[in-house]
Amino acid sequence: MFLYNLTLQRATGISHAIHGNFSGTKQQEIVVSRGKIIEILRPDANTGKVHTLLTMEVFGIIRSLMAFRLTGGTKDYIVVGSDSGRIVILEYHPSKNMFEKVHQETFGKSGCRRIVPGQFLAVDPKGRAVMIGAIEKQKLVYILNRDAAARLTISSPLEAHKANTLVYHVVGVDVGFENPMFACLEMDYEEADNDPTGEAAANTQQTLTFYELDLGLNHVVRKYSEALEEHGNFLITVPGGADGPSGVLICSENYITYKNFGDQPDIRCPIPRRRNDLDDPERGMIFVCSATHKTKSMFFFLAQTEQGDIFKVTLETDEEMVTEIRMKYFDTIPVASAMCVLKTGFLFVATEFGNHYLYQIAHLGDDDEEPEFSSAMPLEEGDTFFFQPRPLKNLVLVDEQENLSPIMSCQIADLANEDTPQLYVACGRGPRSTLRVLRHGLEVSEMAVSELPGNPNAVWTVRKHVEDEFDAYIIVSFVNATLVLSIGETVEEVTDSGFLGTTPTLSCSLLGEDALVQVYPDGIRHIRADKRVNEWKTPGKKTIVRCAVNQRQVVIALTGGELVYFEMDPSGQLNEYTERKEMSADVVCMSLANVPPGEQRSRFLAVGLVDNTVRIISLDPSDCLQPLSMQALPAQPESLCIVEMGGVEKQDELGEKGTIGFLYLNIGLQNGVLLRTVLDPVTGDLSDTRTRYLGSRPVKLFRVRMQGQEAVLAMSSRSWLSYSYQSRFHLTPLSYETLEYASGFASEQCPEGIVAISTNTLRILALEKLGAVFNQVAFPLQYTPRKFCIHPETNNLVLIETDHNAYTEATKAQRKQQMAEEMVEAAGEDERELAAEMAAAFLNENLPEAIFGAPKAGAGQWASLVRLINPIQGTTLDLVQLEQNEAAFSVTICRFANGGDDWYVLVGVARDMILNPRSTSGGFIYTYRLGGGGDKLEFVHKTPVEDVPLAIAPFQGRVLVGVGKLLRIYDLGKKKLLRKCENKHVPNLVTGIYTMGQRVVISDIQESLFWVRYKRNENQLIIFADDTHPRWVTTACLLDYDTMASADKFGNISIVRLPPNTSDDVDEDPTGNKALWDRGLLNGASQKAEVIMNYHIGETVLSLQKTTLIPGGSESLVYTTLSGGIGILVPFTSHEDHDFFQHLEMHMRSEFPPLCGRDHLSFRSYYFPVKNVIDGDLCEQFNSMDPHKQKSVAEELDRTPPEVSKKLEDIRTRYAF
Amino acid sequence: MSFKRQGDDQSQLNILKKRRVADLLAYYIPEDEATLMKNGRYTCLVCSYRPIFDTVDMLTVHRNGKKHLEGLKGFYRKKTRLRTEIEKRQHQIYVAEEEGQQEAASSAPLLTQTRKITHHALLNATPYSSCHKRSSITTEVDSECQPIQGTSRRSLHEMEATGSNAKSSTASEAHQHGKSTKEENKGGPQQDAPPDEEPMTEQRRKELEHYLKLKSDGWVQDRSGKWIKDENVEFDSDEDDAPSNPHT
Repeated sequence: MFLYNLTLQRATGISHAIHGNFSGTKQQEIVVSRGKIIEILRPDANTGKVHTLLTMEVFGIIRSLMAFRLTGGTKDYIVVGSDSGRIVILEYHPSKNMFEKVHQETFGKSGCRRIVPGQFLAVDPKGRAVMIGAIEKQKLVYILNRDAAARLTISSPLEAHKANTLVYHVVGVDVGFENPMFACLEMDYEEADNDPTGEAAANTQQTLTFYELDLGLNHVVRKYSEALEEHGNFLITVPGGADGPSGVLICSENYITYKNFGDQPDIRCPIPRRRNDLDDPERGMIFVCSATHKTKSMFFFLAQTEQGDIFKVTLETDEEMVTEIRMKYFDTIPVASAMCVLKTGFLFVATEFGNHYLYQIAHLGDDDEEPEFSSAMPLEEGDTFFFQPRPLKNLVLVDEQENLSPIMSCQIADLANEDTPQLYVACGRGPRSTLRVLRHGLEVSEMAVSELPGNPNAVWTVRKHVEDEFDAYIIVSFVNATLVLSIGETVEEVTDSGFLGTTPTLSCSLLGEDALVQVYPDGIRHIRADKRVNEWKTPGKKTIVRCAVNQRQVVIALTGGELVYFEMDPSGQLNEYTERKEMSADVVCMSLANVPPGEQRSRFLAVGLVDNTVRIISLDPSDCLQPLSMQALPAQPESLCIVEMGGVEKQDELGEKGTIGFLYLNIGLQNGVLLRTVLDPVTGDLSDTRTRYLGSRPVKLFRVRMQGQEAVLAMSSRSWLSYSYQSRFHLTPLSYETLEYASGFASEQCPEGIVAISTNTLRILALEKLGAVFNQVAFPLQYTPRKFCIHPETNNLVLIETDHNAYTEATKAQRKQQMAEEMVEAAGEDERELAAEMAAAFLNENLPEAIFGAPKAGAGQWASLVRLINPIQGTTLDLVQLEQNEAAFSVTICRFANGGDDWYVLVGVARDMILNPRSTSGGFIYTYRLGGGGDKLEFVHKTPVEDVPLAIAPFQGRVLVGVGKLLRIYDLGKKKLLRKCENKHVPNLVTGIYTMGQRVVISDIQESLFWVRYKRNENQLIIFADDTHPRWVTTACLLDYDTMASADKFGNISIVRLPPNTSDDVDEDPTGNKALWDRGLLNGASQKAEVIMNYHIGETVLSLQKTTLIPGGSESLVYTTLSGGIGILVPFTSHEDHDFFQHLEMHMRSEFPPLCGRDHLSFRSYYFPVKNVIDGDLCEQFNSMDPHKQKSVAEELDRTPPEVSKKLEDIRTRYAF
Repeated sequence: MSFKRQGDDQSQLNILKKRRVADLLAYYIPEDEATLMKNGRYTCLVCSYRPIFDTVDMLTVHRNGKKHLEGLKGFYRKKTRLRTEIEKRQHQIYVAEEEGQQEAASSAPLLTQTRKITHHALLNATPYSSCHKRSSITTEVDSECQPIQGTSRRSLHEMEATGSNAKSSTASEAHQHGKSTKEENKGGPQQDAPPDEEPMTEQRRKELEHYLKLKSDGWVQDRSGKWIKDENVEFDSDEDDAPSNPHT
């Protein structure tokens, strides 16, 4: 078996974010890393939308990212610290839309190791040096400079190593143009290591160490080191040189401290806490991330605490000396892993869990009543400031990027009866958790819907002038009339547009600079800017049946198949070409390409005829109306559309912007098939046809503009958009009802929309999330979802949600009440009334936990619930809150052989669980009957067990339960579940049970899989086979009777299979003497599974399912990852395919090595040597290679580049989207 | 990897050639006459004093020696003796088993027979043997009542298969194997054992199902055949006696 790995949706969680002018223009971009993916985003200052410019998978783990700019430069470079043992400097080329590796310097072994640098990066704020550090010991400094041709150069590394030292954080200190300096939070453990009494370990202090790069001597010195009182977690650079006082801010538990060289005394300010917080008041408060904003005149920092509260931190200076730290509560937003303040006043927040946000900073919080805290305010030791959290005041939310990370569980099924299965994804953490339903398709935002007097046939939009940005008119054609609507503040009907209203319209367009043209059955109307009208009437009894129009040309087909060609001359006159052309059959459709910029005409006309052919006809003056090429079709064509796609934005010498792409002829057939062929721009030859079935109705095609490029809207029984995005073609269905006719639409409110008709309504739609594979519907949950299962009769979901370090609703209410009482009691006699009022206000206050976070209860405190939810409407049908410190970990829906036709829900719960070292005071299995037609959970009984029940699965009318390391069979009893059988030979902890017929496979937390046979006769569970590798299994999936796919916590997927001669008829020897010989090596089972495939995904996989994703498609293994990625593994059906992709992968590895310097093969073999899997993600990067490289690789494979990309597209569309 | 030979020293070349031939011939040393030790040296198993050689060449030289050739006769003599001894012993055991079986049966013939029948009826495959080798039948012939086992096992398989739509290939393989064993045993001393030819009746199936249900619910049969509760299994508080078969 050979498999092919494809990513359907890339990871959405963000681990690092930096900002800068990466494209070298005034615009600021954001570069984010999503684990193994680097992505560049551009927030549009006008619309407030964040667009993705480029996403690249780097086949390595990005551990740190930094932006730097050489002194006097205008362009930022990106430094990447990864697991490759190399430092990589990237440059973004906006013209090619590519990252280019400028430098790659090897310094150590690959992998995430303790002493190999890569974890920390710091740059000198003036861009003269970069420091790359490991967690322990090693630090290297590279000097950055320019050569004579102003290219970036990098020096050989200078070592700043210190043995026995742990590093917590490194930043570059802003010292202006003095020698570059780096500040480092370190801990020297040498003494603690050598002292057996442990005394030294208790006294070891963290130090702040400054390293200076002496540019004159070309070496690095450890300049100064100072022990810190508090344990710091990160550093913030304070602007220096001419801009500020220099130095660093140390963020530590409960305090933020300013430090600098020289006479500067330390300035310390406590971190304010929330007033009346339900959290443990003894718990320390830390800042988790920060952003710096610096202008010529001022600077400030935004620092976020782990509760999500942002403080604006400013420094007061007196003659270069900092005298005071001031802190002011700014706003509360979800906890971020990185924040970026942009020059345009936006705040980009990459959240830890859940959606990412773009905020507009509306106020700087300078003039409001919010109290300002200062280090100068006298406070007792241990005392702190208090503030009151409130809804957003200074920030305004402008855009949201959907983020699935972390995906805790996923199941794929067609619960909504839509033919195409939906993905039900439980994701998020804590109060920001959601259950999301993912459907394949582009999300459509409906901007406006208006009813029309009748059923229209067609709709167009036209601009008034070629320079206009927005459309002026919407023209709607009915059976016997035409309606003209003008676009302004509102959309109104107008009669003075010059269009003929008493006839249906065939087409209309802007002609030349500022004229309009309307084609109707009896003629052509040419409307000049000054409303002069020229008419061309059809000869005799002939009428116009089809037409094609662009900015300068009009072609019409008269009844009988006669083509008439018009072209605009320089004076703006529309002239008929001297000859007409008689076609061999009736014309059914025609299309003209847009006139290329700087040219007079489009050279090709495509004509579809009744005889199942499409012909390309030249419009060149030298051979006008001569046929160039012809293509036979499997069915009659319905619609044609020539577009230019796949180009990159280019600026020519005159500064004119345009795209240079390929011409594609799209052919919609009457049988619902869309063909896309390449149209040769010189000869007009048609080649490289791609086919796709769109739906049951004939396919109509419309040209629209999407993100500055041409795209095709194809309408069948479902509407599809064919567009090019990040140098890959996408053909994606719209998640919207059936449409009949459409046209592009641009207005101030909606710069890139679509106007469409559906029955008797006119709709204005916008497609904003290009590139997204799925559209989502999200339903909020209360705690982190753990697992869910589907009730097969009602399709409802039973979901368990569990949070560690959390209070249940009941405990929260109780604590609140208690605090309110204390408040009143603490007040003096005369203040009682006031205190009571305050207490009442406190009790009534209800801040949404999704933003403000849930109170943290401390380790060992659990809250969980069981929810019965309708996944289509998202309504919660029933909800059972479990008691405080009961944590639900497993759930199943089953029927019992002795329980009649009732469905039962079993929930495995641990009591008082401590995660590390793992201990519990026992567990329970709650049994609920699904009553009320499957809408209600009726409590039946509760069965105590000794350990955590982490897995439950139905098995032959009873249930298999993994209780700690025991595997048991339980049957339904009257007062509790009855233990019927037990196996004690699982080594650690049963985490999953998978059954099929007689077969039972269980997964152990660290020892991979075990095959178990239940012997009814002896009432015994016997392990008869196991795996040979120690895998830390997170999830598994039965592929067939002998084959299991499993994923582990290190991000590997593997498939193991029992050899054909395996026998499950083994005896467990009660005497134990045989077992001594019988047990394989190290007490394993006597029979072993064989490894079929191994593959490193690079992200922890938490769900695996074998399913078909498209109706009529083949089965694939779908996985979802913790970082929010969704991918599939698909089998090769032919040896040829496998051979081809094997070679392509091999060539790609050598011709297009990964961006961050990690070797592709060694990345995919991170834990186990990769076996029998070909990386489709690498193969698909073929499309983003240089054309000449593409050509050379394709030649090696005996193919042409289009053939290779066709193969890549084919294998993707066969299984997924 | 190969090294190019330099120079044109004929004798050296001849030595190399000879060594190469010897190396090739070394493959023809029978496995039981020499062994590779874990330190990479060779030892001769034929000679009683176990001489040790660094290379195959040396071993080959030794094998041509007078002492070795002398020892070779003794070695094979011993080997044949051993083989005949094994055969003799095996036959003795076989005969003793046959006799012992008849004796045991005569002491309480009915009880033993019933037990045996139930035992074999419930035995759903060949008894497991740790040195499980598919190629040899001897390991599986050790159970006494092959004919019964063959048919009853088949029916049980059919029954179990109803629970699952997929059937392990191993089961069917074992099944076929059982058949062939039966055929081979036809000429043997067990020819007169009562063959269980009658097909599984509905009644019998239900009985068997009931038996398995009781077993899997945690009931065990004591020596007298009474159903008692297994102490490791939990029961409902009002469950005192094993439910009787509703079909009888």
